[in-house]
Amino acid sequence: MSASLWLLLAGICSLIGIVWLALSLPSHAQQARRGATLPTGRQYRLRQYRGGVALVLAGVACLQADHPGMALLVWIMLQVLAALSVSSVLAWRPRVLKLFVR
Amino acid sequence: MFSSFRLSMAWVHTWFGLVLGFVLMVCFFFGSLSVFDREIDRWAIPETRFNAEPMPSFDHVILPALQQVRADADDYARQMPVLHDPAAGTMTPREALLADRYWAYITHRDPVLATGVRFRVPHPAAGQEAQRIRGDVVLDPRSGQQLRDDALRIGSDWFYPMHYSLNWAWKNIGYFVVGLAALAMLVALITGVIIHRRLFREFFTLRPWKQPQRMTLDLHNLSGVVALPFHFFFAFTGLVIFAGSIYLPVTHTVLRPMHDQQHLIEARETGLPAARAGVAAPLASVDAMMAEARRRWAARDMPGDVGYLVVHHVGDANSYVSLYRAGSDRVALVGEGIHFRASSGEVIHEDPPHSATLALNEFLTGLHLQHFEHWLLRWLYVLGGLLGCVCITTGFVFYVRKRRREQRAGSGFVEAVAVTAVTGMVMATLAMLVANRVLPPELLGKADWEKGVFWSAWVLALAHALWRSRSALTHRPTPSWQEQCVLIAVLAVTAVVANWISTGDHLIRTLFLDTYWPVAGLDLALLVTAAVAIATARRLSVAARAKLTDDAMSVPVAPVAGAGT
Repeated sequence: MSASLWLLLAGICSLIGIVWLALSLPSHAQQARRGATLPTGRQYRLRQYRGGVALVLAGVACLQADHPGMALLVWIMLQVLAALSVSSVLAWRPRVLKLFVR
Repeated sequence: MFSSFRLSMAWVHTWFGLVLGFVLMVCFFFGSLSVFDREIDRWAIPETRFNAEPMPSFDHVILPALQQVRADADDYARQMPVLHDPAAGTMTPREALLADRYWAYITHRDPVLATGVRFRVPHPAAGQEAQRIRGDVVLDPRSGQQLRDDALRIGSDWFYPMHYSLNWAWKNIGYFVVGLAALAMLVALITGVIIHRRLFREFFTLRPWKQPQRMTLDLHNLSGVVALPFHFFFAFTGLVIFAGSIYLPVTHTVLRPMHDQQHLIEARETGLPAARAGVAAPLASVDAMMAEARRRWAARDMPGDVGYLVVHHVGDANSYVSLYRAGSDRVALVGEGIHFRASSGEVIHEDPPHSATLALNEFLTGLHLQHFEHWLLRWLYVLGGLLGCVCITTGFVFYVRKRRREQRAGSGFVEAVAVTAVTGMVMATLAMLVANRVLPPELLGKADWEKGVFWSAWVLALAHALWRSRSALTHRPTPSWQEQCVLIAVLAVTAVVANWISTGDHLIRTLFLDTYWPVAGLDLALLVTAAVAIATARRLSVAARAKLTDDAMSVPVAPVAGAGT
């Protein structure tokens, strides 16, 4: 697979991972799905676990695209982009993320 | 003094940020532009709008050009009286100086070849034996033709040095001010984390529906926290880069004898002669040496091209050629040097793998200087830099709004300086680009005119902000933010149109017909800047009208006699 495709995969994994981490916070979960019952502690931990796994997968994809020094920088900066994107979505279109909240 | 540790950290965060935030704004903004400084050079110097090439033939392209180079007149006039030993008689004329060193540098982002000669002074004064007089040229690597070098490289010779030295060279004061600001940045980041109580719970929090004060603080926290590793490492590595050469230059001052001794020891250990032998010798084919270097790098599983070459002790039996690999696929800077005897082309020495300390230093330096060829990471760097600008700007706005509500004296002045440091700075940048396209290329001293336009526009922005901030005393929103946003939009569009008219390179052409991304990218960035500026101006206008309406409705109306009866 070409480096560009690996980087695209890394970006997608980063975004999904950050979404899960954001929705593990009660305030943001309620933003995404108004009226939903507050999830249990287990559900929050599950979202954090999923988020962590997605970020690790993003790191693996970055390593496939570039050598380790470059991959580390790309991985960190992709989290920045993902966090900014998710914050913007939560601010203006939170219901877009309701699929991640069951 | 303060009732808690957190309050004392808040005080430190506020005042470190406020006093040096203006400098940090310049560092972050021009640092973001510097990611694409060579591309800005292409936009500003249309004669150089061609694609990058690998290092050309030294024997047939570079050497013939270098043999025509003479010592720079300004450098000769400035240095020769200092470097020449008056006891040895009259100074050697500029045209008679002999070349001691050739160098050439090329990068994947810069189509032009930077090259030059270092001329030795035949009778140096005591302690000046190592000093040289420069003679630098810029070549078209396709033909070896010398390009005009009097045009200001707005990206790499103005915006980039503005980022690390404020273009204030006197006694290196600009470097020290930026260094102090970088230290303040590190302190502000750490104190910001301490005072932000709900750092993880509010990691993604942005509430545009809240009061402007709250929303400003949300944006300040968000832009600071999500890019915290970026902000920290860029402030830290910025200090590391200049630590040994500018801030604490011990190797050239108190440890100078040890440095010179080490130079001799390294020459003995590596076999690379530190001085000339005084015996003439020819120069073998450097092209053959370059081919051998490429073969050796490929054998070490790091194929690459020559990025930087130096010919030491030109024309002497002790002459040697150093070739360094272009590290466009690495974070660390160029390295893997291979050194050849100049008269025969045999390999004298290959640089060994770096020690852990040196490797770490090169990684940290390369992380900041980003010479690598990775377009996604470069754009992510721009994002990080702009987030830094947002963090600083929202910090200013939060400070001013809070104090304006408390009717504190001086808040109007602080806001005016904040406007100048944010929108005023962008206006100055755009005005310089417009001047670059509007002023004729053959204008004498065009570079000085462009710099004059830059500083003048910035001073005018300050004057405008001071004049309009008087309304801050009446607690109404100052209109200078909105008005300067409109001016930014006008200047940005004007720059794009001026580029089209003066060069014929409009976006349709540079995007589709004859694709040239350096120019197309900057034009697109200018148009996006204009769009963001207009959207911001409209939002500020709506907010200002809403505030005026609120103020009008909150004024108590005296009851009219007889009403209600």
